[in-house]
Amino acid sequence: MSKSILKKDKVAEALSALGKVSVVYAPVKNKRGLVEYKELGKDASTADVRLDGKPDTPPKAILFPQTELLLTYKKEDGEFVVTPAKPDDREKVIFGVKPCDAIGISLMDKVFLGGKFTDSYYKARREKVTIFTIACDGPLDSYCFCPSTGGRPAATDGSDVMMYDVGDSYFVDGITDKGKKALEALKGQLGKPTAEQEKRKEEIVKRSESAEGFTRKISDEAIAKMDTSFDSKYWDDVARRCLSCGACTYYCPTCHCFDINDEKGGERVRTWDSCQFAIFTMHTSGHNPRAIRGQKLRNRYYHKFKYSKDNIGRYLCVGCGRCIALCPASLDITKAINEVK
Amino acid sequence: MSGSQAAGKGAEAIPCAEGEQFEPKIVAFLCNWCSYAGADLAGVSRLQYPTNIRIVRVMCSGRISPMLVLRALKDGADGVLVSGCHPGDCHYLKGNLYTRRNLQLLRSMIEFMGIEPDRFQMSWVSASEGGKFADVVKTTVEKVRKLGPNKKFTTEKREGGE
Amino acid sequence: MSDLSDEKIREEAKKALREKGLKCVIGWNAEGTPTFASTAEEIDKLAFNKSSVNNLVPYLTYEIRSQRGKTRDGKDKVVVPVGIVVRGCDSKALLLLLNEKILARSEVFIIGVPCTGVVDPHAGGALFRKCVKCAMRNPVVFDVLASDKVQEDEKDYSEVEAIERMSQEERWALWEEILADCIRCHACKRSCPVCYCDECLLDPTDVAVKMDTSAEEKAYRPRWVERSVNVPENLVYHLARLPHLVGRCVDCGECERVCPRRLPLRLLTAKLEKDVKDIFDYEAAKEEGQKPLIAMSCMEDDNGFIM
Repeated sequence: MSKSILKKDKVAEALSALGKVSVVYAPVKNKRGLVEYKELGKDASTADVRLDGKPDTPPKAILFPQTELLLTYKKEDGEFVVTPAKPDDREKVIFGVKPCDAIGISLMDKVFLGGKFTDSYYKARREKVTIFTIACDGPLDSYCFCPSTGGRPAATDGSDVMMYDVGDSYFVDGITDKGKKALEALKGQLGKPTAEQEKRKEEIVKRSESAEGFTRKISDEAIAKMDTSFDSKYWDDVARRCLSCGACTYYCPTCHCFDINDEKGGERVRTWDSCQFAIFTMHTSGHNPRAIRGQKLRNRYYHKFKYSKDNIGRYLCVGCGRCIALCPASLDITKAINEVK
Repeated sequence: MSGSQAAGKGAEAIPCAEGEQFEPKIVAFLCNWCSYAGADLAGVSRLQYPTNIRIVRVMCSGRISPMLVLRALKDGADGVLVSGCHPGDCHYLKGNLYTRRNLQLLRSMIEFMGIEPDRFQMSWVSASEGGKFADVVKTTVEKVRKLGPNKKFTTEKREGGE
Repeated sequence: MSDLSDEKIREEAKKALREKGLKCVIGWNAEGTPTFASTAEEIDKLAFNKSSVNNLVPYLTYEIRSQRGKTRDGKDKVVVPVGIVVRGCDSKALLLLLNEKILARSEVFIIGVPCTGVVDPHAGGALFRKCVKCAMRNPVVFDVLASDKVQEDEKDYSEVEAIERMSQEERWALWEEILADCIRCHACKRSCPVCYCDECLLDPTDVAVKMDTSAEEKAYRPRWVERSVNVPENLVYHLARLPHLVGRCVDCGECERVCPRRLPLRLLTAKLEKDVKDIFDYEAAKEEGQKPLIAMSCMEDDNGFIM
């Protein structure tokens, strides 16, 4: 059922229809005005679903929860019995994802599924997740800079179903087999697109290719300068106002560092960690090679733009700009890299 | 209440049959010189008091930081009692006065956040007040029993676990 | 909050930079970004307006404390004084640090700016709620004032009082929902001007390991709060922070401003301040040389709930 139309006034119905065959997550505005992905209940139509604008949180936590039980252990008859935990592998649809976040998921896939070792917990969840992305038509706000990172407002990487806002409807396109299969649940809500609607969709794609309208950019020359700026005092100056609060890492669609601890009651738990926290990279000898804020900040920016390019061929930053919007000290990754000395 | 009265994860669930009373677990921090001695006196005098309390002897009630009270509640205690010398009688002169300052506001903040304030009790019991100690324990246990098991500080079974 | 005060700030900053050999002057630029100005050109970028929302005191603490230490010959390193521009709330936090002897008065040069409120970027141009009725608009400690003092209001505790009037179940329903939203990013703690411990018991392992930390110490150091993020752990995190703020928190509101989940943390700090006033008749950073509340003991304290 590729290439169909979903009228905007049928979205609530569509979410309910999807809800009959999977768990549905969609961006919902919470009590304090933040838009975040929430699991919609049985009656999906009552949630305050927001499909315009960029959600304040990326959908990262659905695939990579902040707190995750890995295994439990207990002593039985003098022996230790270890029981692996069962990750949440229900069929899920994440609806209303933005292209930057979808790319973010595909990059997380590279981390957890690519390479020699597969993270079985991530895999169990990831296989059952279908991503419905709504393409943007230009930047959503002044913080967006996806074209500088290799993305585009209507990029399709990481998405199973693409949706394009063509006025009073969404033009719906099943990209992957998984996406096409998911659309079968919406037979009752989807219609045939008109030529005009298809034309509008093509225009969105065209504008996206040329990256129209983005004022926030990082130049390739600046990123190239990072090759020789590792030892520069510049990073200490940039980080002087950093509070090491970790908000940037928690809200980044691709930050994936974690810690594993044994907690009371015989539970081994994986939790998000942040390279900005004080004891990150602290050795048991007491030495911390990255103890100073300038070193931590430099490490984060290099990880997003240099090391990742060297290692996986793509920037890890997706240009969503959330770290800039959120930072309590007004730190700006785009400015910092553009002015690198 | 039927079923198990698990008081926090990590603690063993004590199953109790239908109709049995909930037995709260109280952790009592007693200062060595007054309250602990008072508890000893209660014992020696054969005064009956509930066995729900688990005593931790510290040299002075001033040593009790709010962190220890919170830790006890987090680890599954249904209630916490801190008991020291009467003001003016502290073996270390002023330790209990610091206790009073430090822990007063802990209780009001616990109450403000919607936790039952009666889960945290304090008393001044001197070495000669065996009777008062027994009364303090009885009062504490009854107050906490009425509140039921401590659920707010303890996690339910985790997602993914058995 | 006008060009006049910008002029005065820059003039005084440049003067102090010259005459006192300041390392730098910490202030805001016209967009409100924290700026570390160590030359006359950089000082000319300093400004004070409705966007000057950051409390700059944590930066001052770092700039001064990072200079401390011993030289190779075992002598104390010389600390070059640092200048700072402070509003009323910031100056109270700074006065507290001076009273607690974390910073020495000779190490700081304080340019005070009376403040009529700053704008909350999430509230569409409106002032922060804390600024609408503020009892600390005028700096309480300063070397120079950049503009005239302004009228202060009576502190408004009505939000706190409304919660005090709720039933215990209503209060728990309120806080359970708030705590479920906390992601333990520690932004509140990091931005707090009076949280300056290098080793914080709320950090993941609570021990800043040094060369001589024994294996036993490392193994047996208690973890006061688990890494897991859930309501009970979040409850302990916030309840653990509060006793460390008794008689120290000046309710500057940074914790609430920086919280990425927009949690109403000032409900806790305002309640703490109110209780400290009601129960101990004490106000943090009221005057220079004031002793910390919980470092003092008093026979006359009320017994309250103590049996």
